[in-house]
Amino acid sequence: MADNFKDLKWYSQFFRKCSKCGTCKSAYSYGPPPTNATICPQGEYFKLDSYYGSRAKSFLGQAILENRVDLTDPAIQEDMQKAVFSCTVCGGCQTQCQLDYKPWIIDYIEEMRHNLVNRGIGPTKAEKIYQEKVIKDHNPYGETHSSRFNWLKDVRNLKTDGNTVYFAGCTASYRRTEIAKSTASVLTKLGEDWAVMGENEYCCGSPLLRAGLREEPQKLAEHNVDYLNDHGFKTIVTACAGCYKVLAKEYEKWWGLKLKAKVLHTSQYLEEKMKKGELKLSSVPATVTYHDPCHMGRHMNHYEVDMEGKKQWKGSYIQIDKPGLYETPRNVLKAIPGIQFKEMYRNRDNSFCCGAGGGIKASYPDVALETAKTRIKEAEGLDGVQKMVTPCPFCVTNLGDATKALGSKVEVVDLIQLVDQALKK
Amino acid sequence: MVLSDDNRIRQSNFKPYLINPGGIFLDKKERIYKTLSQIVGDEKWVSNSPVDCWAYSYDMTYKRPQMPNYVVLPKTPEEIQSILRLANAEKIPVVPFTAGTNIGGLCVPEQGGILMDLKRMDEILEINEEVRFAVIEPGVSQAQFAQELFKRGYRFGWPVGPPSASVLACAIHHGIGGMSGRYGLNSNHITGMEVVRPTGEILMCGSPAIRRDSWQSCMPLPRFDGLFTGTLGTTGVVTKLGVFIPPVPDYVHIGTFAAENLTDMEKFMRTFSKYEYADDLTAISWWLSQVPIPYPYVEKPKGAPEWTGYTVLYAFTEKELENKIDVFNKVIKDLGKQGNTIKSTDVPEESKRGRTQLPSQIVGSTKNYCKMGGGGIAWPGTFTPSNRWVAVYNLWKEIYTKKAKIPLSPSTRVTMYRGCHYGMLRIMTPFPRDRPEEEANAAWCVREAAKVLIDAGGIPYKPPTDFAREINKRADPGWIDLICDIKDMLDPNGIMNPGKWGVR
Repeated sequence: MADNFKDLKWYSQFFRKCSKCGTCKSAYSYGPPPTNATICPQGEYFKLDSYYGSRAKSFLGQAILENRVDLTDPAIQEDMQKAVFSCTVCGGCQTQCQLDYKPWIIDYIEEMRHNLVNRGIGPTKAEKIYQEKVIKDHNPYGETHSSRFNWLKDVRNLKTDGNTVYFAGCTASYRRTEIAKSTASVLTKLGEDWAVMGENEYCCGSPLLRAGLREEPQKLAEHNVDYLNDHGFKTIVTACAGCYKVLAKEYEKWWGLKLKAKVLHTSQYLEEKMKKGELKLSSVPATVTYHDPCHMGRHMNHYEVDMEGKKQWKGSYIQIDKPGLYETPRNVLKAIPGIQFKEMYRNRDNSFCCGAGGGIKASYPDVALETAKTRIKEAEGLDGVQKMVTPCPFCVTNLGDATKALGSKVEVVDLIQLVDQALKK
Repeated sequence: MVLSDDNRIRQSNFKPYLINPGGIFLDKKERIYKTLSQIVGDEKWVSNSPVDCWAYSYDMTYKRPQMPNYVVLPKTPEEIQSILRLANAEKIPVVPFTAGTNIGGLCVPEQGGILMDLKRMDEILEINEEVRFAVIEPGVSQAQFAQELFKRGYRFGWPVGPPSASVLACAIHHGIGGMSGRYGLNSNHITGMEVVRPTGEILMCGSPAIRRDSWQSCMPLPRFDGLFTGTLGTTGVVTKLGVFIPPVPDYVHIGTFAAENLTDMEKFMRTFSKYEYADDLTAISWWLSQVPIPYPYVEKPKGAPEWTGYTVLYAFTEKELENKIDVFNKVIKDLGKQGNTIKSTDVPEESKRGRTQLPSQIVGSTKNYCKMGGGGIAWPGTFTPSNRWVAVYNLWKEIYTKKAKIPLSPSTRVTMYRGCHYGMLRIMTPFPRDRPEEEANAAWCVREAAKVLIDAGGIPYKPPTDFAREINKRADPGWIDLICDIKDMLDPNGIMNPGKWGVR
């Protein structure tokens, strides 16, 4: 099956340009005043240089490609798997990198995983389990496919035609149904002619792509795109940052699959409504902070690269010509009367990952939890913050787990829940 | 507390370990691994995996990869004491490591062994604003230190290294920074240190040797800190460092200038530096002024000055600044009257700000240097009297543009240091990591450049092993003997970063 994935050798033209400077290890800016913060969840947990930032990944890629370590040795296979698969692939390192390696870091890490999968050194045991579930039941949670829209029964009857389709995603459908219900409620309150895909909604493919699989997510992509294109929807709305990245960017990028409908994250949808004066929000008195999901923020940065050498030299990184969704969700949040907004120290491009990404919530739960705890503690450090708001069900889940583990008073909520609360009927 | 008692307590307080925790049937590799784990308290902080060791096997330079056998991440001086005692018992090398960002392969193990990664020791222990010193651990990064000092209105000699680089490692290896024109090298800022000797004893140097909470100065005591300064991790592990921190002045002016040749540029720098007004007085050749350095060599456009420069003038009052600017302008004017091609230039404010906004991700990532070359960077960075700069630069140009198989840009920097008319002379040499022939070409140029430099009286700093050999060939025999004697006295089993000095 045709695709646009590149192999490790192709990426070596970029990862060999890593100078090993280690700028990727922390988020630093001169300012003034100078600011510095940890940015790499994997590096902070393991501390070894083989785990820290994109610098480590450059070392590992070379080791794999040039047989610098004996990947036929089971013990070394295990170590390599841990080093490559315990990364959250959050892109915090990518934000720091200043070299031509920068635009490719996320794709390259996932290609490294793909390379290891082909060698039988991946996926992890936990990933294998949820991957089989995705392939069989189209969701990673092992739930029956037919129960995907059970949450909807509490809201309204299943409707599969309309102008706008709500792509709920697996986490909101099976684990964070309160987010799905809030999204449905918001769409209804705003008078949207909205539908769902029903049993035709398959997993977007993100959990498989993140773990280095290629053909299996393509099948899911083709199914979803065929269905969405065949049903004449004008807008696809999703409240999941992971689904948003895949639908808005990756279907076309990897497989040339173009969605006819406009893809919007709920925050974009709400901002549009806000600009038209259609969002009438009542007061929700709360002091809140905002957590940037990697999939919506850094991962949606668009990089200008001079592949032909017309402006600089071949393969040179020029700039981020289109940033990810940083301001949109904040604009929506700040528009809610009564909200007192406090920014965390690490935000936007320098946001600290929730810890759930890249498959490590399943494969390395300790790393995921410790990372989330760090983030919750950061919010706790802000005077009076009651809620951490984020527009991603998976971030909500992992950060919520950390609040429980810490016994924190900070409540983690999805942006759409807060908007639902504020939205007048 | 009686301080000498405290010291005695420390000597006996190192973490004891079982020589053979796994029993007599463990092989040496497993035994060392288990013992290291016991010392640092968790297997998480030890690895003997080739996957992990590979990530410590090379750096920015052309140095061939050489892997350690173990990586260990201690948290305390006591753990370091135990690791060193183990290494002595097992006769296994130990390589101290902080960030691995030096341009000399200093942390690449020559003979394998235990790579001691000190990044977990990352606390700023004290910032004393009254006496103006700070006490830091080895893992404190430039970025971390800059953030904390700036909050309090203090500064340090920030190098053009990565924000992730270690402040301590830079200082004990005679690194330079943005204050070297005014205050000297970063090693000149050292006010005291705690060191674990290769045989595991712990000691203090400078004023904290007498009273542990006094970190004001290494003098008037004998400069035993010198035994651990500039020695490339071969004489001990510095676990705490006191450094002088001057305040950030209220006023700053960045003067920029250009000259048609280095002869004129050096004369200007020599003349202006006598006033000791400049925190930073630096000039760069046309090739280095390009962002990034052109790779491979390109001709300088006709009419473009071969040398441009800048000086950073700080002052605490407007009047002081005005005076400094007046002198700067006067020196240029006076030299111009004598036929010197030096002249003031006007550069964009953004470019000027880049001279003081350190540490910098952009400069520190070597983006400006090696982006076009392709990931690798090396240089002979040297301390050289300014009256030899021109001769050496001309030889370097010959090597880089004429003798090299693939001509390279003579991207050279000169910076005047405080004290007398000497300073940094270095030729920054980018290369592509994925093209071995071109990498070898760059390595040849760098080595040849080092040879002519040493012959001319310059001394490479943080020298890689190939430079060290060239230095030793020309060195006074008595000096070499002393190094050997000191090394044998401090490190009888030769475990500390062996091979780096080229004599032991």
